[in-house]
Amino acid sequence: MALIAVVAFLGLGFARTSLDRAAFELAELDRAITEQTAINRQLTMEIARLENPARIAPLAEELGLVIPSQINQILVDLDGSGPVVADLARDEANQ
Amino acid sequence: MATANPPRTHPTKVRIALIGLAIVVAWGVMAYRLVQIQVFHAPALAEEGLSQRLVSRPLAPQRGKIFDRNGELLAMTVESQSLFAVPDQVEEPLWLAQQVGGLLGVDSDALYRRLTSDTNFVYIKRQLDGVEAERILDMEIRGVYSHPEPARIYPAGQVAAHVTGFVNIDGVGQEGLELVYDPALTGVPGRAEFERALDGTPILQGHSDITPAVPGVDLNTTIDLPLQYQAQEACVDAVERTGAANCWVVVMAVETGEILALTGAPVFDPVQRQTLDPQCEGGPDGAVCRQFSNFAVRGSYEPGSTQKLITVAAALEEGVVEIGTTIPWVSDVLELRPEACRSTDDDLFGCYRDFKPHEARDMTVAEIFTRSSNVGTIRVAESLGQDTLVDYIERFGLGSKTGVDYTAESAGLLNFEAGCETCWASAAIGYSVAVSPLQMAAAYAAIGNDGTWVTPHLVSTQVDVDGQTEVAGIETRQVVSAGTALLMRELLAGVVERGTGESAAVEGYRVGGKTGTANKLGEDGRYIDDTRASFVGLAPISDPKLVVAVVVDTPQFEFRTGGAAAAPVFSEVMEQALHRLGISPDGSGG
Repeated sequence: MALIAVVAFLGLGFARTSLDRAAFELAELDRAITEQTAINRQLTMEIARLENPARIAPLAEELGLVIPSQINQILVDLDGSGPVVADLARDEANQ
Repeated sequence: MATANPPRTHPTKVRIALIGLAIVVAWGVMAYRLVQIQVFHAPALAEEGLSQRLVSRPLAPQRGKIFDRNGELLAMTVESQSLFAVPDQVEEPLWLAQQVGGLLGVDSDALYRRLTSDTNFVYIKRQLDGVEAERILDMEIRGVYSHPEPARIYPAGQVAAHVTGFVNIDGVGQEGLELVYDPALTGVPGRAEFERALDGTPILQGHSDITPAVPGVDLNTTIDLPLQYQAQEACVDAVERTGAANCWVVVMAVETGEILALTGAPVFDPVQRQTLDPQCEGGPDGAVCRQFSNFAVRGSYEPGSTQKLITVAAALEEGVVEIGTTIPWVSDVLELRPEACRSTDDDLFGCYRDFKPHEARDMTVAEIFTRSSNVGTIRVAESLGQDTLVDYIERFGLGSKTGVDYTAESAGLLNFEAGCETCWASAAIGYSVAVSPLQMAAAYAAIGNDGTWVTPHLVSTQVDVDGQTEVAGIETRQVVSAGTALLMRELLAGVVERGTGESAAVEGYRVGGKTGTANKLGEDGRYIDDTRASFVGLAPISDPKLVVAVVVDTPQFEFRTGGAAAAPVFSEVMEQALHRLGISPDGSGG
């Protein structure tokens, strides 16, 4: 009887310690999630800032890029005579 | 003689009995107190004990994000740090104000005044990014601390500012979508209740009761960010090129009413709003600065000749004319009140002139529209009758709000006051009525959409924790028949191909539209030389997908007309929009 009581007491103590350890780990994970979420938000914002056309357009212009002025559209001819490339050009950039 | 001693046991027994009684009473009192505490007062005392350890904190909901139609981020909330000082603890307020104020770009004098005032809390600067705040905190200045605070960020900056609007420093919507959708974007605050130890840290196995915050909904807008940027750039260029005060552009899908771009110039940064024109910030009578007062939705102007679309469409729909009907002997001047026409600089109300003088001649309805003849249009409206004309103006949505999801929308104005004999004639050519650029875009979209008017809107869906919901309230109504709409599209194409709107042409596409040049009213109620130049048009004309409305306010010199100031902006924006949306060419315009 006494042995059972001692084993039960030790078991209870071990369970309690394990529970506390798990709780600490959980709290630590919660902190890590909060931290990573904040970092994720910052990175999302940074990506959006970098993708802002108002930032990209002047940089592209500096590199000599221009808005395409020539549009090629492939018009598929359904009667089977083959595709036709429509060259609708106002290629001012190349003039 | 021997005397007997009194018995000694009696007092001892009594004392023992008294002590025993005292012990019993004491035990009884303790037992009573024990029962009182453990049984009767136990719940209250347990609660009191818990309340000393319990703390309750509000959980702020994450404000919803705003996206463009392609998922590009327009607005979001991130965590920032706000620096504050406790003046009683600050040892050298002057040094702090000068050094830290200088590093953070804060007015040092104002900061010093606040640090030396009778207060125990002073914000040094709010909503700094983590790195900037850390730099100050690393200086370990006594009395300077920080606390986390959410900050609203607009990654697209000024590009989408006219659409998103902005929030104040406390995250409450003040303008644009941020204001319209503020309750939905804000979300519902939660609350966390937990036991804490003496040092304030939570007791892990203790009591905790958490009601999580419900984050605000995300908004998916109809805006196309690259197109919005291109439209804004076109407007900024137009202001520079023409010397105008303002320029506004609306790009809308004709079938759905989705607004793809809504912007103007001058622009503003939704976060750094101190860059606004100081003249209109806090202007007279609390006037809102024109830079963020979105004229495209809130403004109203006399549209001039762009209004002729409604007059002619009404006449065609009612069958009073056909596009080939000849109106005989159309002069360049029409006098509806005796002696109203005195000279071009001194006409009275009731005198109508064509923009360019010409000999009187027979003109077809198509020619009247293409050449934008005021006199010819009034002659057409005359056969229609005032009541019918007004009915069509209202059907096209003028004089009432479109219902767009934006704050303080203008309903415009239909000025048909009783006794005004010539207001119908003025209305036929775009005077005596005031419209917003958005109203005009929606009216032209109806012509592009086979006569069906659709409510313009900026938000397509809202996304909450339960999923995505469509935005309700999109109305449609037939304003003219598909046949009339088709005829009007051909007339609009004629304006660009051989009329006043030639500079609106787009290479590879047939486009149609109408120029508008309306003199502005002076302070004395008479028209002055300053104009509002506009162009509203559709493309591709064979199967319209887009409408673009451009209004340029007070262009200078040779740019005073819609054809010179607004049509080139239309051409540039429409070309970018057609290319961006991959819409197939239908002609070889331009």
